[in-house]
Amino acid sequence: MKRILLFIAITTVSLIGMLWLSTFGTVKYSMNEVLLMLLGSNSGSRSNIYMNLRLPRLIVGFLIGSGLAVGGNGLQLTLKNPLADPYIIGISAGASFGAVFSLFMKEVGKMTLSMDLLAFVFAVLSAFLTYAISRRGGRIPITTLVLSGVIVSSLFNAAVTLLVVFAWRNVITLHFWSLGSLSGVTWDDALKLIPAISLQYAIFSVIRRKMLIMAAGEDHAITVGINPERIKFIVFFTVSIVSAIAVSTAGLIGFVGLIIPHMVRLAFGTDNRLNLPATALLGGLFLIVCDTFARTLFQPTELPIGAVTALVGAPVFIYLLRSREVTGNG
Amino acid sequence: MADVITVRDLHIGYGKEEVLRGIDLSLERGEVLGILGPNGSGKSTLMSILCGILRNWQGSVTIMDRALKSYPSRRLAQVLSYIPQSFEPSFDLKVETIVSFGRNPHLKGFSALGARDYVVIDEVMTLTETLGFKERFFSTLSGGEKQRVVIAKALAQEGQILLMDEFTSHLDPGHARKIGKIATDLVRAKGLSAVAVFHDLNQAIEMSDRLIFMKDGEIAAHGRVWDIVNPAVIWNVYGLRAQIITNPVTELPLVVFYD
Repeated sequence: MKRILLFIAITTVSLIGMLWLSTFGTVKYSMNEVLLMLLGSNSGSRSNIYMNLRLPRLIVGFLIGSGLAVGGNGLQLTLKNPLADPYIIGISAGASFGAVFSLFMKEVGKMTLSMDLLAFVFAVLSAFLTYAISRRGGRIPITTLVLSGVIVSSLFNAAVTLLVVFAWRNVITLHFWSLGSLSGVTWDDALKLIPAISLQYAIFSVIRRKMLIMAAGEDHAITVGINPERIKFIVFFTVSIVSAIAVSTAGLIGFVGLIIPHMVRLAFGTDNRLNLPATALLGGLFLIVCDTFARTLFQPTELPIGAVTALVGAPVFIYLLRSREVTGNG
Repeated sequence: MADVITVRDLHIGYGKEEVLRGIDLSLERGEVLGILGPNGSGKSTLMSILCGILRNWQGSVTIMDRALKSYPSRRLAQVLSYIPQSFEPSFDLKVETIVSFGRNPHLKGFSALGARDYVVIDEVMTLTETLGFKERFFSTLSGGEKQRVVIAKALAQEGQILLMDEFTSHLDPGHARKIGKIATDLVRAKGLSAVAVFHDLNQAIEMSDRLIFMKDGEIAAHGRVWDIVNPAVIWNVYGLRAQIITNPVTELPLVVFYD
């Protein structure tokens, strides 16, 4: 009961908070104005800026934050590792490679290939590679999976470094891309993210019980009639696709998938049925808060959002690492 | 008496080394079969094979008149429950959640727990006296309480066969006895059958109907308690000299080591 109230409180605060945060920026709005615009009043260029720049950015930020947090939550349970996050499976390095490859093609091959598309393709490819490398006799041992992620990451990172030698003129573009940014996202990005993130949420809510059983060990899962390989497969590829879309839309945004699931576990408990909705909500809210800082702290200059999430996330992570949940057993 | 488990010529190896070298055994309906043997004799490997965790073995294993390899994992978990040495989830879970995992084999696809599942959960938690702390986090329980929760989870599976792998060896002698007794009493009260690996020879004698001694992946001796518990077998299996006296209270053999 206490937790339901907490959840309702968080939901209300999030909704109002997100709208309130959207009033800040180079163009300032009042809450009243925002509400009127959302209800359809049109005040010319001001509402144009809000409806076509600020609002999609808000929604895309929420979706990406949610998607990464829910993905991290799923991976942590299934891999039985409280430190797992969506980037552990190699997709961040794969996406960087895709991005630098598009720059390389532009500079050396005089071909324009979409950076977002290549980032997506290589992100998914690196996840597949990680999975394929760790597969042995029909099984994916968790330690092997994590290590393959590390190896695939260093492989793609090495390739990034090599290509940068050729594409050095654009290295600054790559640098900012890799730090992540929500500037310039559009309604199209939102439309692309909505189905993937809803699907991930739906899948994870139906297999949640099995994921919890997996969190108590794979051998244990077998003895209560679960095929752990199937669950790992489902979770792995759902998270890969969602994070690849997220990374190709807004670059590398770290720590959301790592710390939000932790905070929700501390507040709600791992096996609470509000755990998943709270993870989605708080993940989205966290990214919007970070993006507001990124937009407004040194305006009109924008900070890369990945730097903001890391600045906020790293201390929280250190705190969590030293607290009981990670070091002790639960 | 019908056999619920029949194992014939079971072999398994890791690399070149054979861990089990031709095991034959059977478990009769309603009995507790105790398995003893020194570390590395293959007891736990045998248990892992029976509960479906290890699959790369050769030989024939039949469980409830059906070949083990032909069981879908969910079906196997409906007839057979496993109680491990220790159970340590990586995340904090409530006691009731853990017991509810035992209902998983009875849930179709992705459906949620139904009314009957909650009835079963309540019943097994009453039997194991764990109902009082169902809302607590598993990590806050004592070793004895944890094992009772794990027994409750195994019973919630409603299988006919229990496999227990040294499930009291982390406990102090007092709790080991109590938990061991709770489990074997429940097996008898519910008419189940059990294979139990024991660490403690005298506990095994007290709780089992028949014993199997394993050594180097083979069965060194098997039979009823009074027939096989003798100094020669114990010397052969453990390399220890022992004398067998009659326990004045239970009138069962009591093994006393003297070197």
